[in-house]
Amino acid sequence: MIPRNLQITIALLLVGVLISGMYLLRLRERAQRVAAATSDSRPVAAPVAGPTEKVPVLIAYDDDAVLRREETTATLPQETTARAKEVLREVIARYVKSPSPHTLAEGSDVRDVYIVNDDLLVVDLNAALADGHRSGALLEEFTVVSFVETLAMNIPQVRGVKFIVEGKERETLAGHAGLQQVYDVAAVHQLVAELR
Amino acid sequence: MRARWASWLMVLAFCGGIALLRVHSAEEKKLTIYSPQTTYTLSITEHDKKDYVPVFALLEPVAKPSLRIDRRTYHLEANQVAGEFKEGSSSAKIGNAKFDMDGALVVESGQALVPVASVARILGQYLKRPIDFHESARRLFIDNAAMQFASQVKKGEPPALVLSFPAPVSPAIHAEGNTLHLVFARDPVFAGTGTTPLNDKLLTSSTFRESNGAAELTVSGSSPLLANFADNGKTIIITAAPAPATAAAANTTPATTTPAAAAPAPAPPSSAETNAVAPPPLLPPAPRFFVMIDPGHGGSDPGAKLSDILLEKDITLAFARKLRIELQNRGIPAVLLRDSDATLTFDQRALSTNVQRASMYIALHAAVPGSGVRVFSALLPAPSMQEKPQLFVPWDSAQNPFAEKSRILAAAIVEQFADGNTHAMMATSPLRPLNNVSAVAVGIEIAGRDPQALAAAKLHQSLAAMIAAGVVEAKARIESLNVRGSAP
Repeated sequence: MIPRNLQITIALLLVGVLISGMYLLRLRERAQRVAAATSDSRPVAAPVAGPTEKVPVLIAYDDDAVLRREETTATLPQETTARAKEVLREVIARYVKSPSPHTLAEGSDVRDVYIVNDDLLVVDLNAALADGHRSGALLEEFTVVSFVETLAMNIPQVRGVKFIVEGKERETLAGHAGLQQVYDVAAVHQLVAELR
Repeated sequence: MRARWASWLMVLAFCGGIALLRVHSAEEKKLTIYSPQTTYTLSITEHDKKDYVPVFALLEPVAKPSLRIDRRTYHLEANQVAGEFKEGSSSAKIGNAKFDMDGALVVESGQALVPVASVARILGQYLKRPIDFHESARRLFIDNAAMQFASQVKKGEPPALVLSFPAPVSPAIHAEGNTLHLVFARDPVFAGTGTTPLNDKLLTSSTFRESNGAAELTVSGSSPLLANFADNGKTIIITAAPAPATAAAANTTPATTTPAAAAPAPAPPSSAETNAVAPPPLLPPAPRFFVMIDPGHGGSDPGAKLSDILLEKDITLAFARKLRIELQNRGIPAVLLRDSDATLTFDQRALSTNVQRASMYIALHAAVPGSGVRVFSALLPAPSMQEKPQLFVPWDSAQNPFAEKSRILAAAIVEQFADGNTHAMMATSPLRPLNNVSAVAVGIEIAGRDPQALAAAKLHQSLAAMIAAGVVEAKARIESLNVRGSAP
């Protein structure tokens, strides 16, 4: 027979263990919630540092209906997708700045660039660029072609470029130029030669 | 030997599996529900030889239901009416009414499924609105949503069957010989089922039938038929497809005589000659040549907003009408893909052109700023990236076999512009839907700084005349290519 005082002590101890266990579980859940809210496990690109280099870009001139190869200087990362993003931003910066040879809407940007099988680039444009784009067959073609050719000039292994907008497929840029196809770099080269 | 038999058995099993899959997909059952606000389609699953649909999905688009599951009882509240469905039980209670569902409630992947036979009763109890259920066709109309249409044969040359609908419709249209099928999957179109004789030499009969959640109108004729949309999609005009170019040239009096139109037709053989020679072999009918003109945009897609009052879709339509006249004046039959402010997707435009087997396709566009005219052919992958010839042509490269001839057409049009002292450029372009068109295809964009000038009828007239002349020239060049057999 266990003495009564011992029974009470054991019962109190068990209740204590239960309460502290529940408290610990709660603390752990709270810590997990805070960690999930504040942390982002995605890798962060290293800040671009190093010497500036000459970046060839293809710029559209609406008034003359031509595409011209130009050069700008920028510090570019070596990693392919980060490099692709930066060179496109160089082209967009040229178009957004006033006076512009081929105006793009303010806030136009590239959200991300992905690479598939080492030779296909998937370019995710933001809504400001696509929704604010002027409608016209040649105007839209100029945007797409200057992006594709600029990418090809700076990332030689690229064979095809596919555009998406805000992470989703879109039928056309602004009612004319198709975005559902993969742009074949060789075909675009030929087109650029016609439009120079 | 045994290994060979085993491999044959595997191939047979694979083919059988594919065939079963095809049969299964071909027979996928659907229930379509039409309400004045929306149209939706539910996939049907079969249980115990009865057709079932998910009850939540049935109510969601029209009643915003809320679901609470209490063990095996599903409490579904919608439209302030509470309902109770029990798994395995065929009786249901909605509001104060208890009724038999003609089959037990089935739960599959967490979804409560009810027999299709009971959907009219369930919707009626929740919505308190009239329900008309065509059970054998699996089409259900809420609140008298069914849309009757009027059909009338207009005598003339050629005669036309005019179908008038109270609201815009968008049927899938396909031609099969002398028969035209209009399939209304999302439009609540209804008419008395059966065949109606049309008592016309061109249009012989029309048949309306409903099945598997869709309605189909079949119009039969004595020659190939063509459907055109008008009145913002509320009217469909069915008439004869354009006749062969030679016949058209003979029947019309061209305002402008061109070498092609003036070419003498071969004289018919005399009766003596006919008797002297053996009966001619049965040859397939000569392909009919006609140009499909696609006025860019339309309906809910205005295209470029050229000014506060000028929209690209209006300019392209006016321009297209002028081009049609200019082509017809040169003995080239031409058809407009839209002759009203109708909404057409890119795929519909390409499909319509391909199904009607147009010989040439010309898409028209207008833009500011810029100047002159741009003539585009499709931007296609370089030959090394193109796929090998195969049985089915991929939709995105339907233009491939016509690329060379499309460039001939583009070049001929640009030459005409140059002769007319109009600045024009030629380029390949990702312009939709050029790469989906299985015909000689170009896109033409007229550009200018002044939107008003772009809308001027005089400009359209002169540009249309040059394009039409280019088409005549390109037709001759392509025909000579075909004779030499050096092009596809």
